Amino acid sequence: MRDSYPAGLPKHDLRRMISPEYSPLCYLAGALLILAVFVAYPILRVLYMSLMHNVLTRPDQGIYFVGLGNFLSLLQNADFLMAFQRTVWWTLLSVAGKTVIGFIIALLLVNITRGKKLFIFLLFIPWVTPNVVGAITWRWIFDGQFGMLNWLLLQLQLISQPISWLSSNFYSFLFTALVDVWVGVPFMAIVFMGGLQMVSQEILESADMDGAGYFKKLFYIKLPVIRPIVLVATTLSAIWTFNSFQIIWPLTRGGPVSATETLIIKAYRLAFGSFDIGMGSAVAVIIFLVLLAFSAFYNQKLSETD
Amino acid sequence: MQAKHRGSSIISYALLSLIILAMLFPFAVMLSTSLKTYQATFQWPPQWLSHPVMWQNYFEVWVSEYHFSKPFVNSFVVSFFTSLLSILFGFPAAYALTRFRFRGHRALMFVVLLTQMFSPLIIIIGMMQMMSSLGLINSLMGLILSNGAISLPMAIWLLHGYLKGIPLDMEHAAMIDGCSRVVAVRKIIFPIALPAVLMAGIYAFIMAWNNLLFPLAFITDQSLKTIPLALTDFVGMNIVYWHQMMAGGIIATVPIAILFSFVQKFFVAGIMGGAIKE
Repeated sequence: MRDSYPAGLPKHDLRRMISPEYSPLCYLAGALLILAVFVAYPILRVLYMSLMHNVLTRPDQGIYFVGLGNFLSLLQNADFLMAFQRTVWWTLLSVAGKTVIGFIIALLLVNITRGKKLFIFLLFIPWVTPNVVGAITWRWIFDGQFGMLNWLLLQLQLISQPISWLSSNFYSFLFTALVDVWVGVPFMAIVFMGGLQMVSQEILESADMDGAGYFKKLFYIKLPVIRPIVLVATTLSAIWTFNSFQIIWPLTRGGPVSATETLIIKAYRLAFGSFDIGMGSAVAVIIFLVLLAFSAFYNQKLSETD
Repeated sequence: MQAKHRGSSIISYALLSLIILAMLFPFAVMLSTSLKTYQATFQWPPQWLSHPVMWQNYFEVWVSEYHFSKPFVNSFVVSFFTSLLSILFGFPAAYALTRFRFRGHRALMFVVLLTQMFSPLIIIIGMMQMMSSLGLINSLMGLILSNGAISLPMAIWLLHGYLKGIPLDMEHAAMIDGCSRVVAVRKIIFPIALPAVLMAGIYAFIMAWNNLLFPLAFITDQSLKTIPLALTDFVGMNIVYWHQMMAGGIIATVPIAILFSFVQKFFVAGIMGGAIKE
């Protein structure tokens, strides 16, 4: 484009560099400024602060450089290691749930013709609902005294008396993941549906001729075709889930005690609960590094599929 | 063959309906609770439809006790300006990325992608001191800027995907006719890209409407709370008025559901298209 348009000014002229005709600068300036201030700067700042001792409520201790001290004490801290492990399990559980249920819904959706739009619209409602609204509604459903879940399970005679679900370590862990699955399933289902629609109808028909059953077709034809899409979607979902804050916080705030305290909740509690900026930053940096590694993996897989 | 196909599609309808019913269960609870009296919320066994039907809860939550009107207006202001900001800066940036070749092009695209991956928590911890020295704590402006910062990359991403598909001849023709590039972009490219612009704007609006982390960290002033923060706070109170909370939840969801229905069609294609092609 630039070359095809007559250039009247020498290449390094200042007027040319800021000209909206020949130079991208004017178009990019605003976005670059925002990205610099709100993306680049905070990352560098958090990196820097993770190397400092800085507890806002203890000005008497002062602010001083500790090098990798924060990271070393985190790695020796059983609480942190537990939280790390918990985050990994929570993410795995939630992503697996979203993927499996999303895939089943997608398989069903490609099977129907009439009313598909309506189904998709209804399906998307949990995804569109503000996270906090969804989370507090579930909190009410899980209520230990008057919740609908207790009522439902009592009706079905699966439990004999009401259970205070979110006071239990095990159930709060499981149910926060469940709510996260509930939010994330629609996206997965739609993405997978898009993938399944790319599967050639002719190949499926000729497989029918050869007498291939449903699961044969699923494993040997459909899955290989949508493999790259599954990969992209699960990687993205894993990143989002790892970062998930808005579901857990309104449901349990990381509790009871720390049963649902994932790394992101921990970092928030450290920085804004205990005002330990140094440690909070160190956890944030670790989250950042984990996701960076994950993104690199994602990028590599993407270039492989191209 | 035909019969077999019809059979499998009936099973599909049945299973889908079952799954969707299960997924919409919380909305049934929300709606039912929102129409109860305070006493009826603590009735056991719970009734799906209890008398009297309290439509006035929707009004009550707006004015009494929870003062839901305030957070609603705050959320609206924040989301609207976040959306405006991401289009205003995102559109030209996306245009530059598709029409110019320059050093750092790839790096910029990478940063745009990266921003979608990192948690807003980094922004919060990293920006805290600067925000407070700029007086952006307890201000809606602070929320607009921080929400804008995470929506902007997404807007660039979506618009970039769309603008790539618009042939260069479009603005060429106009420019040969003597238009400047800026005029050509404004008069020709922008209108063609309008669907994508709307989509990016609505996406930013929804994200800002949804965001809890920024107000949680930056807002303590009662009168500046947004919906997610207000609801989170209410649920931590000693007495929770579930009937009003659920009415508030529905009020908070409706505008977003309407906006989303406009962009539903392009939505996933926009995100995944970008993700797969890049």
